[in-house]
Amino acid sequence: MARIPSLLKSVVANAFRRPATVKYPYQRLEPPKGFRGRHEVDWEKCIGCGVCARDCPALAIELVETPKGLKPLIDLSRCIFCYQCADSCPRGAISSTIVFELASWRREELYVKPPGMSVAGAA
Amino acid sequence: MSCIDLVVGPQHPALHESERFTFKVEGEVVVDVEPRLGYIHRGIEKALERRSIVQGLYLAERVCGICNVAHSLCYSQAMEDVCGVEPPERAKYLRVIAHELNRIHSHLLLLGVAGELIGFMTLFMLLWRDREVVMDLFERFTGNRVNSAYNVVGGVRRDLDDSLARDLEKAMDSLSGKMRGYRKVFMEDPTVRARAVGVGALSRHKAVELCAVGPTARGSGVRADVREYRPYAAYEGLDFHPVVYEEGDVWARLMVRVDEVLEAAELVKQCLRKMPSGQLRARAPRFIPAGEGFSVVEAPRGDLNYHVYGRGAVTPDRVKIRTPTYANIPALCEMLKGGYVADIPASLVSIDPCFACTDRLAVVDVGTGRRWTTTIYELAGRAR
Repeated sequence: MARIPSLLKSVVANAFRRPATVKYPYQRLEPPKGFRGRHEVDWEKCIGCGVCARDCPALAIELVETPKGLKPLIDLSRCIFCYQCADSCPRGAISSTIVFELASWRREELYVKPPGMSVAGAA
Repeated sequence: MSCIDLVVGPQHPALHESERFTFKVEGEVVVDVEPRLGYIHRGIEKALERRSIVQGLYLAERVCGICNVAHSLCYSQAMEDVCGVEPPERAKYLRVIAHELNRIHSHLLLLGVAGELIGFMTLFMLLWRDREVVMDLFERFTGNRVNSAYNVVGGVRRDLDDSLARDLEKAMDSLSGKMRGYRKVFMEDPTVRARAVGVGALSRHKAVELCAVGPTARGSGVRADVREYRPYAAYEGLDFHPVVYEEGDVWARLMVRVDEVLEAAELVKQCLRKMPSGQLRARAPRFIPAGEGFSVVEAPRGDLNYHVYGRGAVTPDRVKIRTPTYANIPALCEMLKGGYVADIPASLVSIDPCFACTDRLAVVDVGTGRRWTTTIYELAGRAR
């Protein structure tokens, strides 16, 4: 005679339990602190040394001309969110935010731009 | 009776990645298998030759998404070997925690997929639900669910705070409790037993002869675990028992993974208790000196090797990767021979195939066991 499968208990219990999933666009889960989302650059701290651009494994960072000298322009469409840039930055100017919904209709919105960027070429 | 060729793949619903297997079938029985690897060759080894230590790490991590910690750990250790850097003690323990959490999530994923392939969807859903707990902890720990970017050459990226340590300990306890329940399911459930016991047999002798690695070898009674015979990171200071099953069938290979999840949960708890305080990373050079570096780690699927040649420049001369699934393909062919066509998916899933990290430019002739390397042009020529 076949035994009653031991999984049956949790299967029955699951029928009365709250769902394990959430209905995403209507109900949102906040990513934890320290999540690697969109970059935030402290432009006052940045000295424009370009180490982030040199170390970026995805070649997503480019130095651009601004009134305050060369500053990094981060292309989020190429970024792999490894945060090597933040690791390499000698001034600790780059930090992560928990913003993860980065989809966009326009390519220009996929850049973290330095203030007063003069060249419109890349972005 | 005459043989017919049954071609499975490169695109086939039973395979989650593209790879071709030609089965010689007599009626319902498989008499020979001819795998053809190389459909997902991405040229990663070549690409690593053009990247610095820092950039190569993230490429190595992307060889395989599921066992990314094993890849970045192995790459870091090989680079530390060639550069002569020793990571701090605390970093070694943190590496083990990340590595074991990665193993838990990989094994739960595989056990779920095994449940799906043997037609046990309930088990699949429940295991993947419990896997989410580990994924969430991993996200809190490293900053991302899958690609961790946690190991760096010379140490680790971030520290573990007390609240996360408490949550980890609690989660490991509850996971162990749940896993013991699933262990009972795998031991007793008629669905699992009917589809896994005695299927895809691989004898101990054959497993050794065909150089099977990881859970595939341990399911056949071979006590081979890198964490035991060549301890790396902090494994030397941890109380660790390799899981070995003697049966050598699909069931034994799945049970090895079930028990390894329990073992990994214990290891994480041990690490949390024994972890010393101190520095997180040692200063790593940007320049790879001339010489060789080698590292082998126990990835969730078996031994993973990285061999680095430095030439005294920023980029390495050569990085050779040997992934575990690749080593298990000859053993897989042995398992499939003599089995039924309907048991192919079960045998296939029992080695936890990860073809994306398998595809390299070496060819194995299954008939003669001969192995040679070839160029991409020759391969292209053979394909025509």
